Amino acid sequence: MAILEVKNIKKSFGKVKVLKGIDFSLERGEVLAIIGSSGSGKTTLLRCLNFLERADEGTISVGGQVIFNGADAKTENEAVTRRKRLHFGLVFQSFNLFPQYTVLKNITMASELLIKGEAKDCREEYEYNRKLREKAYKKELKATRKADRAALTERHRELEAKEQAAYEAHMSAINANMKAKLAEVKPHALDILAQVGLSDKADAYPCQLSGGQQQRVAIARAWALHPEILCFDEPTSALDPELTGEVLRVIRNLKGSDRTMIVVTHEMEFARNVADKIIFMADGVIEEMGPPEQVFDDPQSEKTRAFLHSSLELTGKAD
Amino acid sequence: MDSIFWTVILSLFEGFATTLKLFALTLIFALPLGLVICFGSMSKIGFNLRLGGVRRRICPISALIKTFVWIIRGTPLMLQLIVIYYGPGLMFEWDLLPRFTAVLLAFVINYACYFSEIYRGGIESIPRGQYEAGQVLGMTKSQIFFRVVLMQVVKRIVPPMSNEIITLVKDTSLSRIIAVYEIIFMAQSFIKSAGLIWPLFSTAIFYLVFCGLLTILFGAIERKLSYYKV
Repeated sequence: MAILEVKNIKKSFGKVKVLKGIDFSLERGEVLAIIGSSGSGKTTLLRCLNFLERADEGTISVGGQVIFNGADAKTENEAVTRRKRLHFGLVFQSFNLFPQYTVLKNITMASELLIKGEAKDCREEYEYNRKLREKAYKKELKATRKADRAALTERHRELEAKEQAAYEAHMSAINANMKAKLAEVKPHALDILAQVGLSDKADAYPCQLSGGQQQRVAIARAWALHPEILCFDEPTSALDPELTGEVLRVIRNLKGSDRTMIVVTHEMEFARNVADKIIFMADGVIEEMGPPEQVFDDPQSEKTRAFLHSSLELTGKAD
Repeated sequence: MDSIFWTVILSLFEGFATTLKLFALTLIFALPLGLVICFGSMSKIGFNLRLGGVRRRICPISALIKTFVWIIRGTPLMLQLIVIYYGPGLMFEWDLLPRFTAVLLAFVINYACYFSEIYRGGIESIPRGQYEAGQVLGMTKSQIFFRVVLMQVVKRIVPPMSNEIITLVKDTSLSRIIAVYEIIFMAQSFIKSAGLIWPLFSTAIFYLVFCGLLTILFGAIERKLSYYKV
């Protein structure tokens, strides 16, 4: 079954229709490269997937479960959106590392907050349920005859004690679990940092790194949360040409695992070599989609041919 | 040394103590109040209105606060002092506020408005990408503000803040206008009582030394925050 299924995504900014109905699906472990000229809607598509923009229409399903439906009401609990967002990771064109934190802290902070958040949610849920029970009990108390009230109070007290005990057991399990998880965060981050080749930079600050190194940290940061689908928004566009290689190599190395990735890119060579699937976008629609050999060597659409011709000419690789 | 010298020095220090007290209390109240005013002026609470075919967003809280800030920043602090001290009595026949309280009130309101604009500039200068990076990492709005944005704002506002705070040191002398016994007032009194002009001139030393210390302090803060760039 497809891990990601996108159906009929539409998005307008004012009167400008940026996405005019995007459909595609992606299998687990596949790498999708989205190419196309500036303004074709590639970045907006990624931002819709990551809930940074809200699509006007269409559905997004992850692992068969619909996580976004444009037909639903616009008001959604922030916490719900946050949880849905975690299906996706996003690496930005301009890195967006947190400048005041070390490389390691950049990677671990979100995981730690999420782990701590879980315990907090549990506490709040219990408090909320307790308030509900209290309310119901008071209502019932009013409705009962005076003679029966003592029995009711007794029953309520017993129930509360049981609930309290259950909650405490649950909480201590969660706290133990939380501590175990928190202890793993740092070694895990160091492990990922090693995989992007920056073990020696754990205690450096972002401003001390080159652009390529910063982008590799940003990749590690997104990766550390283990999103099901990792998105890259033109990850090398803000880099000097000699630094793009190291970043592309890191992305290529990620491919080995069963990680699903979507890469918006202008690096045609990279797209051809790494992607399993290419989408060429023009004017808010998918103009052409298929395996790299087909899209690059035998493009069906006139627009694709023109785009590939001009972008390959630029790098001097046109026939 | 004659005894008048020591009398002068003593009363200058006495006056300077009042100056310092006004300075410190103004900061203590105006710094947080400025943040509240800043959030108010950035508030997006409101409604949409269709005016002649153009949809406009009307934010009453923000509009109200912005008007207030405009009035406070658009009129002289000296005038505000006079209005706050004499105004209630003249208009409503209320009792006069104690002089120091009136001055403090005027300073806090005035400086909070200036601070609010510095805060706003700092907050709005943080790139969208920082918020978005926090969002895609599953952070809550308050986590993003307190853990990601705030420290960057602090770093950005230290230079304009230090400027404003150093201005405050010297603005305290305006309280002389309603006869608060701060250092200028004390020094000036020797002109009439003893025919001495040098006490007034020597107040400059107090201001210079204190502003020098503040400059060193802010320099140290800036250095302390220089380990990261925003």
